[in-house]
Amino acid sequence: MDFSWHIITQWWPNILQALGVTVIIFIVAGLLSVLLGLIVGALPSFNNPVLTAASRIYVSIFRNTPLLVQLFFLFYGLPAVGIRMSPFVTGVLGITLNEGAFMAEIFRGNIQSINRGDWEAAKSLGLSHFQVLAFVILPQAVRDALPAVTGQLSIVIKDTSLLSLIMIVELTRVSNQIYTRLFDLTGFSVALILYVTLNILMTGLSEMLARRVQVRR
Amino acid sequence: MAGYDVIFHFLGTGLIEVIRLVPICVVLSLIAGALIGIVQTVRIPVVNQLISVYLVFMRGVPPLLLLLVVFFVAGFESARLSAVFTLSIYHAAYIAEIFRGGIQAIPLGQFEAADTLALRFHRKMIDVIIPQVWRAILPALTGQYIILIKDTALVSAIGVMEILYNARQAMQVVYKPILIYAIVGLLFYILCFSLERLSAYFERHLQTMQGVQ
Repeated sequence: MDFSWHIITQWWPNILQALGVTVIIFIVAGLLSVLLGLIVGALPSFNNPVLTAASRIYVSIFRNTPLLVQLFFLFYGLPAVGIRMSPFVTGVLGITLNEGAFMAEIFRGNIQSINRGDWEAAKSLGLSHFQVLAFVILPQAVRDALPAVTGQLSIVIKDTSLLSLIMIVELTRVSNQIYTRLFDLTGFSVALILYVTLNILMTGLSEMLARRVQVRR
Repeated sequence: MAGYDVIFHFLGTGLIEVIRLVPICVVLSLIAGALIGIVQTVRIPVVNQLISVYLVFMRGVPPLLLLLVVFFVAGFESARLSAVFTLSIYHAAYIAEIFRGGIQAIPLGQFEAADTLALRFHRKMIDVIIPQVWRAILPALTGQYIILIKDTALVSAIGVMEILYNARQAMQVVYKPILIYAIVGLLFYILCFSLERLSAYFERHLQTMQGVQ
C-alpha cells in the first residue's frame, strides 16, 4: 500500500469534500431510514391484515435483493419512465428504502416484545390505538432497539460507498479517481483509514447511548 | 419480441457466474472464519490483538472499497480470483464473530468434561465443542450467507462478469432498464428468500433438537 503525504496535501480539498459528501449522505439516509423503519415496523401492530401484508412484502423485497440492484433500478429505471432525480437524491432514496426495511424489522421485533399488558393497560385508560403506540409502546420499543439500530447505522456508512457507482463523488470514488489518475494507492489508504475511523466513532457513540439507556432503567 | 431472449441469455450467463462464485466463498469463509473464531477463544496474547485489528478493520471497511483495493494491490491472476479472495476474507470476519459467540455460549462444563477425558485440543474442539456450536449458529450463519450472496452484486465493479455486469451488457442491446433490473432483483430474491426460509427452518427445528428455550 502506498502512502505519500505529497499526494494527500495535493488532493486534500477533494478528499475533504468527498468525506463531507459521505457523512452528509450517511446522516440524511440514516435519519430517513430510521424514520421509515419506525413507520413500517409499527404497521403490524394495528392488526390490520392489509397493513401487515404491505409491511411484510416491503421488508421481504428490500431485504432479499442487493442494495446495488435497487440503486441501479432507480438510477437507470426511473429516467426511462420520465422521472428525473439527481444522483444524490437517487442515492439517498435507494439507501433509505433499503435500510428502512432492515430498521423496520428491528422495530417490529421490539414492538412485539413489549408486554401485552402495556397495550391493555393503556387502552383501558381510554387511549386510542395510535396514542398507545406513540406514548406507551414506542418509547420503550425504541429504547430496546437502540443497540440494533446503531449497529445497522454502521452498515449505512458502508452502504454510502456504493453511491460511487452512480456518479456521486464520495470517499470511494475520490480514492478511485486518485488511483486512475496517478496509479497511486494513497487515496485508497486514506479512504480505508477514514471509513474505519467513522465506524469506530459510530461504535463508541452507540456504546455511550447504550450506557445512558441502561442508567435510566 | 426479439429483446427477451437477449436479456435472458445475458442474465442467465451472469447467474451461472454467481452460482460458481458463491459456493467457493461459502467454503473459504467458513473455514477461515471457524479457525479465527476458535483461535480467538484460546486467547493467545499477540495473535488475539492481531485478530481484533482484523475484525475492527473488516467491520469498518465497505466491501466495495475492499474489492477495489485487493484488486489493485494484490495482483491476482484474474478478477474472479480477486473477488473470491476479498469476499471470503470479508465474510470470514463476521463468521469468526458468529463462531466465537457460539463457542462462548457453550457451558464451561463441556470444556472441563473434555479435559478430564484427556482429549487433545483438536479432538476436544472437533468431537465435543464444534458439533454443539454448529447447531446453535446455523441460523446466524445462513443470515451471513444471504449477505454474501447480495455482496456478489459488487464484484462487477472489478470486471467479474456476474449478473449486474451482464445486465449492463443487455441494456446496451435492449434498452429496458426497468425490466432488466426487475429480473435481476427477482433472481437475487429467489436465491436469498430460499436461504431465509432455510434459516427460519433451522431456527425452529434446532431449538427442539437441543431441547432448550
